[in-house]
Amino acid sequence: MRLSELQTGQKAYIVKVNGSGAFRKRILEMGFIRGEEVKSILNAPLKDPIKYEIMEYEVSLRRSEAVMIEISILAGDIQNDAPYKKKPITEEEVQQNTEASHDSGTEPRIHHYKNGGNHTDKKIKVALLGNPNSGKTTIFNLASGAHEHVGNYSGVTVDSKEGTLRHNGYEFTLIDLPGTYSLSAYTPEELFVRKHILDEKPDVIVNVVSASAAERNLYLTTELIDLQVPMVIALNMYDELEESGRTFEYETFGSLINTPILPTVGKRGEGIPQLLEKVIDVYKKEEYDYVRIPYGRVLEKSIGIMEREFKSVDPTLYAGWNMPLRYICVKLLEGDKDIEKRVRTLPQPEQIFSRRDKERAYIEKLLREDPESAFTNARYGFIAGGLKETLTEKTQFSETTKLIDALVTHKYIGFPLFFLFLWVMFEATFRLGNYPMEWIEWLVEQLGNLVRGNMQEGPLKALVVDGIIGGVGGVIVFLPNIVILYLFIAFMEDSGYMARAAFIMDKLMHRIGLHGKSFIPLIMGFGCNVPAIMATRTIESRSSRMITMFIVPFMSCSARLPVYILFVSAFIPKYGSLVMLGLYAFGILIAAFTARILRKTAFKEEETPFVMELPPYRMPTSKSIITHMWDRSSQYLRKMGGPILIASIVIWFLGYFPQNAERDAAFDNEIAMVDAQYDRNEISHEEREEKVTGIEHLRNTTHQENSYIGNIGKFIEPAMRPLGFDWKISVSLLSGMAAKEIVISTMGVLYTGDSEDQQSLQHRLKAESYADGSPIFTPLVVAGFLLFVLIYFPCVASVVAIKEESHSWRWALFSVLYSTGLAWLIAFLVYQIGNLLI
Amino acid sequence: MDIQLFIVIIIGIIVGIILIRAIYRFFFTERDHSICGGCTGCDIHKEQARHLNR
Repeated sequence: MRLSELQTGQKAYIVKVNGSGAFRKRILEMGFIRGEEVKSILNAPLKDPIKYEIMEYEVSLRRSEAVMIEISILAGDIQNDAPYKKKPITEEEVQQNTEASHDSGTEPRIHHYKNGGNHTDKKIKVALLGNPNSGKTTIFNLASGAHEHVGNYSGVTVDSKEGTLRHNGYEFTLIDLPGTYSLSAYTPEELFVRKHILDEKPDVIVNVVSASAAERNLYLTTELIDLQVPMVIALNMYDELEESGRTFEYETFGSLINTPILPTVGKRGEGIPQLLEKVIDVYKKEEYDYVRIPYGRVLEKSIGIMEREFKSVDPTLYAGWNMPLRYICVKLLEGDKDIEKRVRTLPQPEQIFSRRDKERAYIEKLLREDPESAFTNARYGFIAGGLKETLTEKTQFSETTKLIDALVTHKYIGFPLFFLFLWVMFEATFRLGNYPMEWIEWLVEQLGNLVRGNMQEGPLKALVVDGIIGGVGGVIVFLPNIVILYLFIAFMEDSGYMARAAFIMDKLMHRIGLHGKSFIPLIMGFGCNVPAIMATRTIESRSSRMITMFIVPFMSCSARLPVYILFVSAFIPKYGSLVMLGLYAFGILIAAFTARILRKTAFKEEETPFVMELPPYRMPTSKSIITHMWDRSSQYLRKMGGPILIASIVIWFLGYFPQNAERDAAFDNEIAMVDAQYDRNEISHEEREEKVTGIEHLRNTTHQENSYIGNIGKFIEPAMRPLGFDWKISVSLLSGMAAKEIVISTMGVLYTGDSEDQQSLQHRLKAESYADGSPIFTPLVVAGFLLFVLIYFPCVASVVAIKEESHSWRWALFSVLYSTGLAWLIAFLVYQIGNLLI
Repeated sequence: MDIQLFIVIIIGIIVGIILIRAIYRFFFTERDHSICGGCTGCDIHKEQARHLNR
């Protein structure tokens, strides 16, 4: 029987995992091993993927992947011949295995660490390591006082982060590493973590283990034990373990693996000082006693033979790898690509590979399973044996996650609920954010009027009023909207709903050649495209990663939000939220279209399977939400004082210069003539006002058109004219390439208006007209402009991120040309077809 | 010289320097490739994909 055939609510036992490569390895490491109980929990709204429960955590698999796993409903079928989980492992057994291996004298012990454990200085380099979503970054933030991004889903940290702290006279350098299920060579983050341990040589490793899924989390621990690195285990989210009514004799388990274990509750900071104390203890230790994972008679024999095979090789040749010989042999037998590559550099590698292949065949013949499975089973067997005596069964079952999931992944209401959530998010961003936005707008106006009324006429006054207040003030008013948007995104990330969104969207994503996991970077893209592009690192398949990277810029980031809000409030206030939701939806459509084209042309490679952990729902703490919002708001404010201020000043300079004294004198003459007419009572006061306003308008327009920016605008205008955009819109879009908010600040500088009082940018835009009096911003121009802003050139930071992640300027350039070309085409179609119809 | 124009010119020079520095950094400063720095993940994936497709 296959896992895909298991009915919802039914339980079964794993018999065998078929398939090959990364999927198989990942699925084995996640606990899908012979004899393990698995339960089908529910189907996604479109019947695919399916949520399963295994080893006390939940994971989603597509039917096409579940079909590769053989199961049996009857436990007896498996347990009769499964070596796994038969009996608890005792400390004596581990000791015997360790001593036996030492006695055999086959392995020269390699000391990885420069001081061999006998450190004298008070500087400790600590690496935080653990499964995805085990709470490493929460501990990192608490300990180091950093504000790194955390969330309740796998793969939040994609880069290593460094922080420092002092404790008990010691200076700690904490390195937060991306989450990983193992140290295999299948995903970039696994390789990165292994490379970090081996090359950077942290003094102590803090292995963060999620207490609520200890069995699966400890798999990585067994790999670290094999690697013989000084380690302390942080048993994080210990409160969840206690709430489930379980008890864990972690000290006993710790003595079994000869590694100190400390319970912690990351979100409340409990256990962190004790953890640091323990790190100091381990750091000060003069000798580390490592245990050996007992792999069983067959595997141990093969490891021993491989170790002997290495005897003919000069140990100094592989000493630089910083790995114990036993680890090299285990990984070689497992078929680890990175180790194979290294071994090929040794003299006469054929001999080693030939022996390795013989041993692999021997293992397969005797154990009736491939070496990868055999080692994984043995590791899990070791963990299960240890936990059998130390961890009690659950007595309290929380139904919260099941209840919420029954609603949010329901086949009829799952999707409507998701879109309702998005609608509420935009409605709140637009409507609720409108009140504080008006207050800030009023403040900016008052500030402008204050300077205008009290400063002497001159270039500095023009720079302050039109350049700085007009430019930066035009963008700063959108701060409340950004804060509200991030409040919703933070809630989605911290609660666990993000992973569910990916779960229900998987089938749809599958249709465009991607999988649900790609949906997480896309949602993150609503906040900012740059971290979203970086988040694509969690996608295993290179082709899917590249496609996701290219479509992320079509997700409307928060920088585009001010542009939308400005135009929607000015021209379509009645249907604000709907228009905004429509723009976001259109972005998603363009992304889907692009993904499909790319999958059919440039990235035809086979898609990787969808294996994603679904974390339990957790109530986001007010602290984490506020921190999240504060970080984003301060980032936005910093942007105001940085790139936006600089861009506003540059645009003002280009618009203010060159000054033409003769032209100004001509306009002054005209005004003097009007005044003379008024003095002679030839015109009324109203007529005079009207004429002077007309002359001032003409003076402004003529000056801007003849300025440097006017010349740039006139140069690009022919390309933008078919879209209905005048030179000012064209220049705003050009400057927006640096960052999308600069579109607004440029407009704030260019559309100065004719009024003596500072008016909001909305009013100035609405009043803008051509010389014949026709409005510049017609409904078609507004629609085309909004779509152009949505699709065109991802900001410079995004282009750099694409270049960095794809390791190619070619692809970054492709993204720029494709998006800008597509934006032009769509705006052109909207304007031209619209003109034919209206 | 008009004091306002003088201040504006000083501001212009400062902004110009900041801008040139940013452009220089963008084009000529080596960036840290962080996670992918030197890792062979992508090559391994390509090999795997070739293997799977075969």
